[in-house]
Amino acid sequence: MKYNELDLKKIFVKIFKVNIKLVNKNFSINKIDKWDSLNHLRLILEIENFFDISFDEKIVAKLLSYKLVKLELEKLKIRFI
Amino acid sequence: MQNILYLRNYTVEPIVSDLENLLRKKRLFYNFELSNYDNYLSLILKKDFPKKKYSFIFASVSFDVFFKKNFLKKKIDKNLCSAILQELNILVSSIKEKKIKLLLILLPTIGIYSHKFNKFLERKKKEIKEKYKNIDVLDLDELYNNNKKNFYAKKHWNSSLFPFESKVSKIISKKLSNYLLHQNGKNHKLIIVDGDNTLWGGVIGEDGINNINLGKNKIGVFYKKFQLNLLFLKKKGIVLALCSKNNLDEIKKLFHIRSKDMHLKLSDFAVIKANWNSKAKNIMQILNELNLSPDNSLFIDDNSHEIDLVKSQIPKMDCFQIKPNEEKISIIDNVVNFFYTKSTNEDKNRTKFYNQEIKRNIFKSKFLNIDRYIKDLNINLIIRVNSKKNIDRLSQLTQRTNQFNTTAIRMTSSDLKNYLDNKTNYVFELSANDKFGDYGIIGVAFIKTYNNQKAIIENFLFSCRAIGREMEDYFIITIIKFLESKKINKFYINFIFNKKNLVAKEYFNNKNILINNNSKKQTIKICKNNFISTSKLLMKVNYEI
Repeated sequence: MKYNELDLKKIFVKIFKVNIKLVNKNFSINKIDKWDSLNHLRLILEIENFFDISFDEKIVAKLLSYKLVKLELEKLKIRFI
Repeated sequence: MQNILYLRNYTVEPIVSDLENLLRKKRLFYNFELSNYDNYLSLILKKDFPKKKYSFIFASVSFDVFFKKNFLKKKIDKNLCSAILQELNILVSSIKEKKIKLLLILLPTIGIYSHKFNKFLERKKKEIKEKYKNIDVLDLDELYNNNKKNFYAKKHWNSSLFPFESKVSKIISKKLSNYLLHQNGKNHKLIIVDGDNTLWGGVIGEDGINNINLGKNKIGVFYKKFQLNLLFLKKKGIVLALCSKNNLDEIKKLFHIRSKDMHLKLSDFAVIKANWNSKAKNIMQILNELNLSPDNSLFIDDNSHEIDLVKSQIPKMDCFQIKPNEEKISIIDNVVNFFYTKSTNEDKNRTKFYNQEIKRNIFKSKFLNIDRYIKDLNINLIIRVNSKKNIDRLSQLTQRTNQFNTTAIRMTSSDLKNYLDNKTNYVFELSANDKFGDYGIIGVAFIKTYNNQKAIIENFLFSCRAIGREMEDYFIITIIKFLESKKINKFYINFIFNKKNLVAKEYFNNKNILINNNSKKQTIKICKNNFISTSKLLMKVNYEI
């Protein structure tokens, strides 16, 4: 399935309430105070719901940056344009 | 801002966050206070529990602290079963005492507990639903049955104590939002649906009646299921209307020739607009004929162009573009603002009431004199005082009525019971019938008396489908006469103006009872002379006092 990368970025904006310009490959748990366990759960739920996918249990806890999330989605055959 | 206390023993934050977003879109704002995971029971059992602080309590509890260990395991021992029941009993009885509105969100028990225990729990749930007027139950069993494989998420449970898959989480938020919209009179009362590629697969004019897809393949099954959903909603009191760019004769032929493939009949629709006018024009006519507001209405069509046109011309109307690919998740869960409560007789007969209303309007067009029209309707009014028979319907009137609702104070069945328990209060209810049929219960007035001298109508409501036939006048005059017989001689009415009760404001202003656009409570003096003279004897009044 093909998606606009902006859709993924918008999910990060919605959860962490940041300017979309900040959502890039460097956006990670280390740089965002609001990235706590509850917002991590919300992020995963939003992404799973939007892209209609389900992350593997082992991988969920490792998706701690925008880059890793995008890579994992690509592994699940989500293509970004 | 009103407060909601959310009792829980598992993570609900993602649900609450989505719920807040949904409510914001409907201009409803609540402050949610979440309990800790381990103190939800002790919190409400505290002697100094501030019950007045909260408008509602939500309880999402799994009823056993062992749930974590036993997640999705079928075998649970007897001790656990009795612990679950004990917690449920404590929760319900403490809420019952506090007389606060509680929404109990019960996790599905199927597949977790033993069959025998499930049956027992089923009975308990039924008992709670029927016995406790201040407790509503959001039962997730049906949602589970429709999404068995994608309901629970072990991964979220293990990492965050959150039991649901993402789509289920969204649906639960929507259901909670529907509950609050329902409590605030913002639920959908009318669904207007398109025909081609919405109620059935294909276009009558292009494909021909015999080639219309209803149940042939996956897509055809989708349309049949959609019809079944609409029929369910109709039975629960939502009015249906059909708005289709087609010839009416073709629509009639389709419903006749393909009746075996359809769940819906033409008579299930209160209004049918099948013509080539714009959808927005037809929808406005439907709203006028049914005297319903776009705020409480939903339009469903397959065509994005039609949806955009309706949205631009009727911005307050909710619109939904239907696509025949949502097999698993029902449209009721996703789109319609509807919360399942006990059905009243009025719910079951609502379409019939609106059909009668259309006949009355046709009858009215034959008259130049309004008094003559009202007299020829042969209206009988039945007025009951402090009757406890129809508490559920009276509560429903406070929640559904917006246009003729003097204060918009919503009351649950339990609030009503408490109101009636106070000996200085009176609740008057009005039913009516005429030559076209029964109206059901159409009016209610809540009255507080002071030292047997003064009476204040604290809230006066009248069903919008029955407005304008002077029944309102007869109702108020009868109330005043009744109270005069109790030696009460000063009468007042409370009014809180909001954007939706303009109809009530204009009604009273026309009677020289002047109400301003102030959203604060106004208490205004009224007397019999403000209302039409019942000596005209336009209708019969029967009392059940």
